[in-house]
Amino acid sequence: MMPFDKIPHKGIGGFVKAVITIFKNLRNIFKNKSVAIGESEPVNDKTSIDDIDKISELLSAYRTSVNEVKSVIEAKLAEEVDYYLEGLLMILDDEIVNKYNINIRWIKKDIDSITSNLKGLIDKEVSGRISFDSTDCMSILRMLPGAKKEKAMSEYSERVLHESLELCCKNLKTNLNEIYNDVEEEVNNAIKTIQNESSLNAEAFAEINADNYEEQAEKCLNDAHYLSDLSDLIIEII
Amino acid sequence: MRLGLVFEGGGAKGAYHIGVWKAIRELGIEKHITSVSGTSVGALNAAMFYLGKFEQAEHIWENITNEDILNVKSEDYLANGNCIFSQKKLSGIVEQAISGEKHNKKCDKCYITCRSRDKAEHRYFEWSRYIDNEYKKKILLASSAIPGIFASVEIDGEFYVDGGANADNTPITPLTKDRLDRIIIIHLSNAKANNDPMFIDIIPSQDIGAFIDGTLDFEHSSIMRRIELGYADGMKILLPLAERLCIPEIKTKKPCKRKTHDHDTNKTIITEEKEMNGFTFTNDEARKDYETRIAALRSNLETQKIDTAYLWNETAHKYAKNMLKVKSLLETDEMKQQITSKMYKDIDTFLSKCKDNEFHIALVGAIKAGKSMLINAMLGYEYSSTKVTPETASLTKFKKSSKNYVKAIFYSVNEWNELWESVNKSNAAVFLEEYKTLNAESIKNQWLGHHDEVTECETREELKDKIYEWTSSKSSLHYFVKEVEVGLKEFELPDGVVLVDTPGLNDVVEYRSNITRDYIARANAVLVCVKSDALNGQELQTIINVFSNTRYNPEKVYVIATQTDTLNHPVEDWKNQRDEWMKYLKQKSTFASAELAKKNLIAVSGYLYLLLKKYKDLPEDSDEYWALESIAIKYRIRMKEIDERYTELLDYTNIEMLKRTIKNEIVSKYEELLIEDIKGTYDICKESITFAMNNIKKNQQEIIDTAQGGIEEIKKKKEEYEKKYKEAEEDKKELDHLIELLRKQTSDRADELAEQIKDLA
Repeated sequence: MMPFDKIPHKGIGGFVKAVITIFKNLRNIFKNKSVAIGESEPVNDKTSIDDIDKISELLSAYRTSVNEVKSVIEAKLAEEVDYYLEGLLMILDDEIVNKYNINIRWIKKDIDSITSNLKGLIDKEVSGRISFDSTDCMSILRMLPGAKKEKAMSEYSERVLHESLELCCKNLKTNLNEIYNDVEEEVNNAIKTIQNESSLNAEAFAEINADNYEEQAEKCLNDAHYLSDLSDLIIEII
Repeated sequence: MRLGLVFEGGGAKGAYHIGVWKAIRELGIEKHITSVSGTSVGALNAAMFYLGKFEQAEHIWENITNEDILNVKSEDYLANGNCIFSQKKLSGIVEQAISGEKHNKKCDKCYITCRSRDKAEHRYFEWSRYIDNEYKKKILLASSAIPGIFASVEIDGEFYVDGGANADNTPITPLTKDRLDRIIIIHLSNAKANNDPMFIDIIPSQDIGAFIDGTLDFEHSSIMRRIELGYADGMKILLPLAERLCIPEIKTKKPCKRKTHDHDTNKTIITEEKEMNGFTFTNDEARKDYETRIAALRSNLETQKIDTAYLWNETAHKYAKNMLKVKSLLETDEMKQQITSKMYKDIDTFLSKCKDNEFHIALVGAIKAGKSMLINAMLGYEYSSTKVTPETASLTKFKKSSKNYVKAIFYSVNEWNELWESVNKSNAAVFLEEYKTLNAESIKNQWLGHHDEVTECETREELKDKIYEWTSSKSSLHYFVKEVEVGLKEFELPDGVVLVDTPGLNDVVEYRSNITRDYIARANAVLVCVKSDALNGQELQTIINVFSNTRYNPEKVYVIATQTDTLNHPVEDWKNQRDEWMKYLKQKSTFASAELAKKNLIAVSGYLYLLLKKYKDLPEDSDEYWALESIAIKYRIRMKEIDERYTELLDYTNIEMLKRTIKNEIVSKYEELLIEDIKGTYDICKESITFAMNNIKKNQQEIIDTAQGGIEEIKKKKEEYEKKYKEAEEDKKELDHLIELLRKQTSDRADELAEQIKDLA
């Protein structure tokens, strides 16, 4: 088992560095986009279809900006998640895995599913919140054109971006915690099974002595063959 | 289950075997057949079955001709020992049939029947025992050698001919000693079925010919007809039995060596036990106990009933059935102790996936967009109210059911508090005023957190009234209803479809709009209803809002232009409108593709559809009759022409087309995804179960070896197990500690990450 102090500790990884750079870039881009929103006519029940279409295109531009940097965020996120997997696999090394028959193949799958869950989360948040469908966004779109409207939109879009990233971190933490719970359960179960097995086997053999060897050994064989047959049957069905 | 298969002799009629064999394969029975037996042409087919060469057998039979077998030239006839069939050509076919590797791993034994030419007796060759291919080929040629037609074949100094000729044309006998559970017999003649339940007789249901027009008829069309008939007969007889025949075999054990200790000589004696159907028991009680346990398992598997919820798809059913069998075996007392709780959890997750076959279609629209009318048209009855006032404040789900019912689900106290907070925040004055007028507060405590109310209804009218009772904005009760589920016996959409009427995205209460938002994100498809005349800014906004909530999947959105019957010239006017709508619907914030927009924009008239559905029963002086007349005129159809042009008018409504779209695009697509997910999850479960089972087997083998190793070895092993137990205790503590440390480290790192992101603000 790899001692904990031998597991390489990394500082905060490339994810944050990448996020900081991307955040700063997007903040500038969003600020520029807000200029156009600031100049737009207020949205109300009488707004023409062409104006709605025009404003909708302006709102889409925010999403397009996020899409342009999506692949960078996703790659860094995958790196970050891999780091956690590395740590887990170091603890659950081959020796431990083989000794307790721990099935670790699913951990990789679960970690992959975290990455895919987090992918697009920022995009989804931006799409939903920088839109006609958001009450907060609509209250800005209803404003009269001018600097006040531009400022409100700039601040709002930055807030959305910021909160999306926070949500991303929160989800990452929750998902990782779930994986740790699952790993803990798997390890505990595997050890419990081995203990149970050892104790049952020891118990079965404890009753055997020179006087009852024939009879008790037969019972043992009977049970072992039965369980082995049952396992074969299960493998065949599955 | 261990099964036997008998191939009867009959020359060219043997093509029938191939059809039955195909059915056996498709039903999954092939892998349970452990012994085969055949005579004459049946011998050749049995040999190919034993080797697992279905494709080759099918190829040979589909390409065989009279010329391949018959000697048409007189010199061939003379050279072939005055026999009308060519042994040389048959020999080539046999060679081709038995060459190469054995693919059928399950089939252990193959018996071939031949008759002695000179003695009145026949011999069952255990063909699978022989290694020499030339010898094996000779046996097959001998079995096919019809006296006077083919030359006899010398084997071991004796001449043999066709095993079917005055000998045993249906060789069941050699299989009787193989401890089989059932024997399938493929006849080539109009034999009588065996009464013994041990046998399953497959007899040609149509005449496949006698000697000249059957045995000697290798015409391609006749061969193909027999293959098809064999397949049809095989399917008909075996399909109802397939499930029982496919219960896996419970293998018994091989003979084993046992070490015993002789106290007098103080020596260990190794005794090899005799084979007695595999694993041997020295005492009867142990044997009985083992057999009882195995019998109980068999009975458990055979009598297992499957939940009808898994029957929506053949693949889901197949996987669920297997998993249920596995689960029942894992739950046996002996196995339970060996299995982790995670495995049970994974199995249950898998089984719930197999049951979950609902396809949710959400309907969204502004007030008076014709949403309720569309639902009614799709359901074929006016269940939803089409009154001017908005009636839908809760989700109303329509689904197929074995009985008609309406189920009302109520808000919990917490949910209501959130809703109320949202009412105040949105300053929903109309809502508050109506709430006060209807004195809803007085019944609030009675309904919040109330258990679901289910009412079974006899008629459609009763259903309609009950739905109205729970959803009408005129009743104080509707405020507390969170969801209404309607089960319908008559449901005109595919099984599994759930049609959901939503309160919409513009509800005065944000909390209720959020329910719709959440539903749109999760639904398999969204139908956005918009009136089919000139699109206005607000309507475009509603459409865009739907897309904002389905950002990753614009394909699942269908824009439904409703009420085309209200246009002056429905066909021409809609054509013009459509071009106009397309300008906006191909933009980035909607479909982002002109092609997708064109495909997913559908114009309908639910009202006309419903009128046409009841047109035959409409009294001539009724309002609906007049309405139908005035709408029909818009389509240039006079009332007196309706009977004749009924289908044309019905097609204009596009409702049937929309239903087909739901079936072919939405349901089929998601069914495929669902099945893929089921298969993937099954593979994960399969991997971990197989992994666990192999470990159990390894452990049990250790016990078997130890138990046979004598008393000293047992003592040694017992100590090892005790040590292992203690070691595990220590390792557990250390692993717990490590995982906890890693968890903390990860958590700290995630917090630090969040902190840095916070600082960005």
